[in-house]
Amino acid sequence: MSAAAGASTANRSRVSRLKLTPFSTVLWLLLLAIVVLVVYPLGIAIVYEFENIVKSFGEITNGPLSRTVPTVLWNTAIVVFGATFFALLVGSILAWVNERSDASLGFIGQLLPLCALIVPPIAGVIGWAVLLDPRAGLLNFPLRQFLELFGITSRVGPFNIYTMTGLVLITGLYTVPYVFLVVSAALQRVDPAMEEASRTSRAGPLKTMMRVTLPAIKPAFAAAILLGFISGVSLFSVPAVLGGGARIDVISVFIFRLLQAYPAQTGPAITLSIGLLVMVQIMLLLQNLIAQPGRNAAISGKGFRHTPVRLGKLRWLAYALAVLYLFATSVLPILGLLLVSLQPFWTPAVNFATLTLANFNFVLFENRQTVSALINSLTLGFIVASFNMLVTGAIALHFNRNGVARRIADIFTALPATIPHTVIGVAFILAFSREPIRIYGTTTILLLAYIVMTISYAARASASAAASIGTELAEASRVSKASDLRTLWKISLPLAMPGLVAGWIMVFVHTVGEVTASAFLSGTHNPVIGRVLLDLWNFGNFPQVAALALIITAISTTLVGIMLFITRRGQRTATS
Amino acid sequence: MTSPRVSVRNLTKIYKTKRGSHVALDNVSLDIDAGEFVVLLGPSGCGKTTLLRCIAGLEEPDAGEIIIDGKLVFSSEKGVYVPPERRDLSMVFQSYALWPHLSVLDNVVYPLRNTGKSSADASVLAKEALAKVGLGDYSARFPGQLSGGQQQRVALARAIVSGDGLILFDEPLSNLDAKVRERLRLELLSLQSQINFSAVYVTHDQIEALALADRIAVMDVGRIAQVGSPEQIYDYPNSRYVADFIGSANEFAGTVKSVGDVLTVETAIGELEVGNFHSDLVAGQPVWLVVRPEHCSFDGVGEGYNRFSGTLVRTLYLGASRQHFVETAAGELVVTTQTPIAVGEKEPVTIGCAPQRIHAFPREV
Repeated sequence: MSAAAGASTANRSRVSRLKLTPFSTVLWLLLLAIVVLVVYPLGIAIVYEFENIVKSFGEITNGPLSRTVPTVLWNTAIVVFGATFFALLVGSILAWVNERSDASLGFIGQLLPLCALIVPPIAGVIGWAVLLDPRAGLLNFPLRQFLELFGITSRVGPFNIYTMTGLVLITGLYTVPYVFLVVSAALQRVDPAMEEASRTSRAGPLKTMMRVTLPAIKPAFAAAILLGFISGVSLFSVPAVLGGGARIDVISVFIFRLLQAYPAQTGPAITLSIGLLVMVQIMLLLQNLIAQPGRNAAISGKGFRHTPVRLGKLRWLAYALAVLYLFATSVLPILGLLLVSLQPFWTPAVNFATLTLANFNFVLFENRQTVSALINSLTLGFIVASFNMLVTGAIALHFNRNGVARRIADIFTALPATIPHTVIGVAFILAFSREPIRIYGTTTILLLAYIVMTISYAARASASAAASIGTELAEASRVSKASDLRTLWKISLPLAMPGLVAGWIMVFVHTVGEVTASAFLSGTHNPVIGRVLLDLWNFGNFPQVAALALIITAISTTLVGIMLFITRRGQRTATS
Repeated sequence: MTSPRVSVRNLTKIYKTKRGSHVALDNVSLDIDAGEFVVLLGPSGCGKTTLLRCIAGLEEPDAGEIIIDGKLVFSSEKGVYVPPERRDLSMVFQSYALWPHLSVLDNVVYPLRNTGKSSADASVLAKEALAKVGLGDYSARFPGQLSGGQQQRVALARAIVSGDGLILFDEPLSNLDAKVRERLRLELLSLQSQINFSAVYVTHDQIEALALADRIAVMDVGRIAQVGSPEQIYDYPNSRYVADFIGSANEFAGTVKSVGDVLTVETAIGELEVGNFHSDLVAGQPVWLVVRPEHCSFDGVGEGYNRFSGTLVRTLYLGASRQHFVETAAGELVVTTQTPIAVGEKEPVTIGCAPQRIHAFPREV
């Protein structure tokens, strides 16, 4: 009796694929390793530092840190709120223009959400710093000369990027894509019949937008705000570059400086990290509550065709806004970087006769630090992208989409995305700089950190690549007498390939442009681009910074171009 | 005695969802003979696709047995589950499920290569199969370059190429236009008489079922309500559910007055004589009377016909026929005629129908 029951459960699992085959065993072990990589460092760091954590509560409430920490928190709040507000405004206007008006942005609309990939934020913020430095800013200088024509003379300004405003605006620029994506997706799913019903009920386009469209996508706004908060709180590169000059510390940079101080203040660092982690978790919880499917009943299927709202002359304003945004995130900073990188030393009065490629030559071939940083970053990017796409691709294609195994795997791979990079950096430092695993200062620690930090991107890319195939194609292969693995190899993998390659490129670009964990975990023995850029910036080697930033921008732009090419071609074969 | 090609025994399949469990198949048994075309017919959610997928091996039932060509492919008791690739059958999907990255020829070659045929042999057989479905010239194309009807023909070629002689169809014509659907229906039948495969065919379209089937299994939430030839199902439904689902039916409530050669039933429109009833009906039992609109008439009232009167409410002209809505004491009744009638709207009419065209089913009160 019990034997029969046992046999029948064994059978059921064969279809839902919880039964371990050699292939799935390897996948589960890898997943387990990734979970360990998330949980272990944080857990062990808390255990090691427990006394320091307890002690740091006193330091923060009425000790030496009681004056700085509130300021840091206040600054963080201003930056995050300001940047999110800016991004919400710009991002949703652009999304509405692209989805609903006759000023459809076409190719620019496709590029918008990719801005932060095309130009890594670290390159973008350095680009803006060289443009709007109060003294040597490449934009400030001609502006001052222009103002002199009117008798207004000044040695600084008129703009200063090293201010709270600068910090907010630049952070906002890199938050826009999140809002744009979320709001666009929501707009795509609103049934146009709802808007058409409003129009035939004698409401104009504006009233329809205010009374029907916007209320329908309210949950998307909430989700966009929370995403903006989460990304703003964890963003490191912008405050690391601008905060120094502005003497404004936000939490991510403050934690970094606590660890860089001598002696390292590990207790407060990990306490604040845990606080950061808790805050992000609370926000994610809120976001899940808001995004619950039952709550936005107005939104149904997707792929509707909308009659565009005619903007008339306003269309040009809409185009202008989109182009301005592209200029602000990409074109202007790249031009700034280019001018500085070609100069022997950074000066706002560009002397075209002295321009030289020497900085590129130095960064690419002579400076041992930058050369090994480039080699390390590219190698790490390659390994991390390949590993993560292999694991998540195999999971997405092998495990049945609605199966238990897949759901567990999804939870595991989504977990790291909920942990700010600053926290990963702190936890890795504290956990891996002593026995039994002493790998601080090696490339291994960077490899592990990067794998953890990008596995969620990879999983999302793999899942959407697998979802685009549909289950019936695999089933048709099974009834055509192909085994599980043969189906994976002959049908699912080739069909998912464009999506997987796009995911690979995304992970690679993220890894090469990564700054946060790189700042924490990289040093002279294991230099990577993110860390070396910050160091060169802080030491004032501006032309070299610019050259190096341009090089990684070029790599990113090229790869994202390839990605766009592949995904567009993929769409064509899928729709035909 | 020849054994059936497919034998489904006491199959049960339960889906567990967040809101509890849902019985998709409840102790279902069915045999499909060699060369037989069996249609599983029912509304969505009745379990017909689940049954098909269980036969294919794409779903694993919770209890029961499936035997294909004498080989046990599933048995909950013996712990047997043979995966789809080791069952000798093929399948045609609603979405065609052609692999977009393979050419038409490669799509058809694929099942042969999986069974170890050489590339040259497979190619010859695949071309033959493509010729049979009228796509001999299309082997170099890609699925994306074909129309829906052509794509489904390729899928059909892929299904017949391995020569297993058992093909499962999952609503294969639902995605096609009416015209293409009708033509493919004919082609499917001539293909079947050519190569004599057994077919299990899932559809919710009763016309398709009547046209294609040797036998129809009408399904009702997880169980088979009736199995029989199309004529049996249409003319002699064994339950109110089947009568209702196939074709359209007028229904009225009544009470059995006496049981004899015919059943006499007391209704709001008077006493009716009923020719089709189950022998276990007894006097005094509440029943539903069911009669099809085309079995009622206004003029052709013969000897022994039931007659009752009503008022014509409206006539709809449907091209090939006319649909008349008549208000009677037992509620609204539909009568279909091929020819126009001489009665205008709001005028009184007399309806007649033969006792053997009326069915009685027990009614729960």
